[in-house]
Amino acid sequence: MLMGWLLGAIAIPAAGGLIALLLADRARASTLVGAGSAVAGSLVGLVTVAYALINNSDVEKRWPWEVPFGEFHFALDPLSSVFLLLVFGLGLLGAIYGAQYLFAFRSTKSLGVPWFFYNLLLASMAVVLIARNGMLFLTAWEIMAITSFFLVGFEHERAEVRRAARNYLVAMHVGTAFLLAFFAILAHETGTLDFNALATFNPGHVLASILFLLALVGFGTKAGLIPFHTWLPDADPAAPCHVSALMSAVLVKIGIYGLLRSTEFLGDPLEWWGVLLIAVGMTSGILGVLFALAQRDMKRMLAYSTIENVGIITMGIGIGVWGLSHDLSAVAFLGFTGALLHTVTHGLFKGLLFLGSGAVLHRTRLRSMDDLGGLLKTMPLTGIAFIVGGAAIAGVPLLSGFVSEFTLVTAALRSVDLPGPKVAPVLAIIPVLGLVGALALATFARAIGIAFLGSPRTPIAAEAQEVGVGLKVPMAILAVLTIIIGIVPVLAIQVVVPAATNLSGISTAAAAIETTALETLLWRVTIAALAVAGSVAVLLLLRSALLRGRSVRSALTWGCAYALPSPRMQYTSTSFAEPLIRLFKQLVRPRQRLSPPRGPFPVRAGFASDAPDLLTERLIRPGWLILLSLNARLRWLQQGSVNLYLLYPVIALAVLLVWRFGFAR
Amino acid sequence: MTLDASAIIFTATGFIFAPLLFGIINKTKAFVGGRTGAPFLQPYFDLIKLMQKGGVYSVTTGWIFTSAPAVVLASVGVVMLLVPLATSGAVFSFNGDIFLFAGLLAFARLAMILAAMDTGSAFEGMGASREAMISAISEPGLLLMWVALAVITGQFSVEGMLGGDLNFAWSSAAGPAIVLLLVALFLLMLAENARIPVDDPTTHLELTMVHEVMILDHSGPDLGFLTYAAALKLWIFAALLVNIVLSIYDGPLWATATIFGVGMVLTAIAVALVESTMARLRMIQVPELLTIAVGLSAMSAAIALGVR
Repeated sequence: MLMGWLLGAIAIPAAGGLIALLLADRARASTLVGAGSAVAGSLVGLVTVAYALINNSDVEKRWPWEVPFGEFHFALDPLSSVFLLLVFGLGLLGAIYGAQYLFAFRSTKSLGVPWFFYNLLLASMAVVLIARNGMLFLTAWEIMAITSFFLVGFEHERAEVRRAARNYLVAMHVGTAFLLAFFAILAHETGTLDFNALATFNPGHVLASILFLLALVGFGTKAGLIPFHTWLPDADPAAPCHVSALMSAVLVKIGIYGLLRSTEFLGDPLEWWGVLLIAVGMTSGILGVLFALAQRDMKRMLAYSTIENVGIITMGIGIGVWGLSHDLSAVAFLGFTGALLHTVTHGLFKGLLFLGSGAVLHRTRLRSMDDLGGLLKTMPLTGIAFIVGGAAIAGVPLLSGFVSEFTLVTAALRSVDLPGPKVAPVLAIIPVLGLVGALALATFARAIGIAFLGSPRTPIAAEAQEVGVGLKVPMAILAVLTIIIGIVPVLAIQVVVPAATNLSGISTAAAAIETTALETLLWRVTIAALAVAGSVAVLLLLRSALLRGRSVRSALTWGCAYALPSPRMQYTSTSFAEPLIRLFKQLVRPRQRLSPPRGPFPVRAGFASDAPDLLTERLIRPGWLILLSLNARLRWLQQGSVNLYLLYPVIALAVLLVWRFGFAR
Repeated sequence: MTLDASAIIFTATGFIFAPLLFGIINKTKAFVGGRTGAPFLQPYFDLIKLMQKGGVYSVTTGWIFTSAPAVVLASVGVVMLLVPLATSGAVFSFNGDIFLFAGLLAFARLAMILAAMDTGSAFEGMGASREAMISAISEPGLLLMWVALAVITGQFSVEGMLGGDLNFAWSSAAGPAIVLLLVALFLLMLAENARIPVDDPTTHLELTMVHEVMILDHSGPDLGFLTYAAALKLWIFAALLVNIVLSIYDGPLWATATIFGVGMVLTAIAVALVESTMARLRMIQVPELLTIAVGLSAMSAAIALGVR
């Protein structure tokens, strides 16, 4: 019954998308059907998954599928539920937002096409999460990659969008190749791709380690972990904003889901897996936020910050796996709880930030924050939403980002239970979270300060108007959720605890004790948040009471008594980031072109800087060039002659026949 | 969490006496410089004066600017509740509150930076940028210090780490690790509180300021809030430092409290002596100084991990 509802929630958007495609010429009708079916399906899905989580009901259904190793085997368990809530939640809000956002393109583009792919993406993500068969999983995985490719390429008239979409498609398939190997080895060893059967499989250390590395690369590519992230900073900003939100908040998390699910097939984890995960997570966290700090394009900055947060999640998974390898089930439980919690909270506030940047883009068409400024006055709700999201991602108390990072710190501190110096990598997470948090604070203080505060730097920014209600409502919902989870985190814990219990293999009784202990701590966080909020309110009242009846004047900002400041005199985003970028220049390697003023009467001078992705420049591009030059050696095979092309299959067939009947006997 | 009367009295004392630290620092600097200097209570007179004034607000600013001082003072005020007096416990404490400690200071910093950016002034943008840079090193340094203390004491809260277990640790093999922490904490205190050699609180040139330039456009009660918050923050860091030293001593509460008071005065004098004998570092060298603090904390944590 429950599974019926869930499959219905997947079928509704898929069918609606198809109808929207047929109605492609009629913008209003295709939007109505496309967005409407996505909203309806997501609502059904949200209710179903919430019901299953509350009633603790696992469901499973199987239908035959005439494909080798294939079976339509679906199941809903707590781990799937956490991610399904994200898919349906962000899918719902994205559809509402996208309806108005895409409508601006109705004169130049068919809207049925993006809705078809959006709804199919939703459906395929949901199928990936409930698939319990390798073939089914990979099929849905591939649909997910292809539909999101078409969404990334929505504005394909722009060359950089085409390039980003192409990179995305290639990167996804490189990742999938590792997953193919992963499942092929599993199928070869066990003779089945049924997840239930694989969960009982216990490979030896060597095979398990090989499988672990394959899963880390394959799923890590989807998650955008450094060094497999190179598609993300290009593809995410290229997509329409509601799709960017869905990709950063949910799609990359499917990679995290895959990583977590695959650990079920690997038997008992080894310690170095946990340490490797922590190291990869730290690298992604630190490099991701540093590159975010170096960007001027708002969406590109947000994409890099996604890499950072996936890094934080991976550190949490690392704690979990490390804890499992030492039989410290409490540490493992807390680590997985923190990782899943951060998955949820990041999904909410990163979705919020992308929708906020989309609202700005919708009104101004300006991508660089240095062209903006003062938007908080002209777009108050968008401004507040972006400030809430930015503060949450910086990890300050009262907002949800602090809560998940606090849980990770609690997990890391618990590792002290293990005597000896082996806890060093786990404890190192705490100062690294501090570093990443401080850099994220700088990154988002900069983005908020440059784009939303001060005075507008261009006429377009000065004339920006607040967005319509279709864009406002999703932002408001996400902002309110971010605040609620920040102040009453105990509410969010319930969503992830069952999944973390399963992942850590902790006994139900022990899990209950750990959960209660964590809840006690989180209530203290609530008290602290309320104390801060209350004190702020009292101080603001005190302030207005003190100022009542006194002279309160307006004046120009202090500029050494200079009376004609221009908006161009404000600090720029590049200047703001410069001290930090210089500090970490070994990691970021910013490119600067300086043409200093010359002569006694200089006519022109210039300065330009940017931060190209180091790994793309130094690793991926040279790698591709080598691959291309190798390919060039095979070019004689492909000369455009049809006769020759017909000959190839003939040769292939002949060889196969000879091999089959000549040698194989 | 037992609400101890002595903890409440201690925290209330902190709220009352925090501005006195500025008075002691300024008086000591004047003494070293051969001047008479302002009275010890001058910071209180300044605060009272500011609270009686009206306000002047820049035309570019909005609600961010006007609410930031309250956010800064509220955040730092709640951090005050986490700080204990030796073994007598803090008003508010729980496992992992070290992250709340860091988070609330970050919240205050975010409010300060946003308020500075709200003015649209290049000066204040520059100050905000420098503040962000300094905190990016000092925040991990501070957390590393807490990690080292967690390893040394086996405790996970500010109260626990500065409590009785630290007293035992002094005589154990982890003793040298605690000494390293003291040096690191002193450097972090100077950086977080905008003192020489990281920042110069008395400079008159906007281009050389960090903290002072960020509050350039604040006036009246807002400036009063920020100044009082700065005093509280200095009190918090000095109290951590004194508490760690004090943990050697295990005696009755009245004696501990007296030593604590003397320790706070000595810390203020030490800050003043540093300021009297050194110039501010070039901004480019500040990270190097802070990296030393981080390195010392890391070494301390390594020693503590190695000997347990």
